Amino acid sequence: MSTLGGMPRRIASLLIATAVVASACSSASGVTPGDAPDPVTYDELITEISTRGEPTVVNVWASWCLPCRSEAPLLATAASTRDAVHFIALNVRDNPTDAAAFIARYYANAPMTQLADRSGQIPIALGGGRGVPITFFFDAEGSLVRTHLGIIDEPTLAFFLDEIQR
Amino acid sequence: MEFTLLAAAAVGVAGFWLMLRWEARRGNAAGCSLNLWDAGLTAVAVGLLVGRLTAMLLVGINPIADPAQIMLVRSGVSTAGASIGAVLMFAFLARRSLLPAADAIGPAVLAGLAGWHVGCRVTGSCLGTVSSLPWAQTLAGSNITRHPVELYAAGLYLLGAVGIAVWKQRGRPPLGTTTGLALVVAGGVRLLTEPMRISLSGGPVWLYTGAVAIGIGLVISAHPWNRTWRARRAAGG
Repeated sequence: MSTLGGMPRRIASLLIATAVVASACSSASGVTPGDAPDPVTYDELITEISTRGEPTVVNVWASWCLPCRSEAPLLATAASTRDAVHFIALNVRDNPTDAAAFIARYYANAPMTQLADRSGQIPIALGGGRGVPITFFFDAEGSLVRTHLGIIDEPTLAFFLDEIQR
Repeated sequence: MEFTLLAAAAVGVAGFWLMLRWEARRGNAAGCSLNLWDAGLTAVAVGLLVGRLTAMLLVGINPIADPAQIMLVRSGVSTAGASIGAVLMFAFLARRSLLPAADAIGPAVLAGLAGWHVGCRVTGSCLGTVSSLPWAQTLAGSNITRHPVELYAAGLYLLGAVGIAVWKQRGRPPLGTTTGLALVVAGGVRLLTEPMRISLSGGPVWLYTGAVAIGIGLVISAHPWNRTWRARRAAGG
């Protein structure tokens, strides 16, 4: 380390500066809880998807799920930019207060339908299993085209959106 | 990290290693005291971290408030952040002999990129826009035929890597030329294949264009006629 001269002190200063800037950008605290998502049954969800006449994305999430927090901004952006696709955020196995806080933080301005399945049975009935997050892609006729288990990234989301919009 | 991503990364690292080995037997690192394998992997690791942090900041996630999310690489890595982070890390490691080291590692980096793109396709994802060409492919369960855009990119990268490596060994080009050509290929292949990629926001075209421009600049400044012209100008002739 001695060959680096004053580098450790510089690195420490850089890290502290980065932390200060990042803290200033933080939006982690002070979120006002909004409305809790409306409960939905399997039949109601399928009817909603199949009668709407447009491609639908159903993202299954929970407020206690770290990967769900990670992918939420991407889904919110996609919902805002893809007007021809209907986005449904399906909250599972969660309590209403935490779910409302999550929605207020990540989906406050996103054009998404917020629904809840407290038992977590709907994703299982759709063939996705018990894990979260899961993202289901339905075409305009309401047929399930693709199921993505786990975090979804931008290229994969863009690709599956392209598939259901054709 | 998802296993498919790990598999693509492993193929990329294998491509990098194979090209380094192939070139090492032909004296590719002459004049370069840097351990290219260590430096390359360190640069990739740092680039991955910078790319992940950049992606988090761009979508409004604070890495300080939510540090566990740094590990969720699958949810997004900024290509621009990762590329710039890796290049800066390599430049720092090779600061005593930057151009010789960059010339020595250039083809191996292109081979690594080729491996990454092949891995992305082999793991069952990464198809491009719709195509009716005879070699168009479909994703399992779909009947929509698409460009195998990652295979196009991988083929072009491999062609560039092998071409530059062979030319470098035969022609003994001026210092910096290999790096310049590698940058032109790295950026140019992405520019060529970008229209066939599917994306929500579009790729960082400015980054690819910048790489091509810097590469061309390096090639021109390293060329003997340019050096002669500069020497004459300095001498007042």
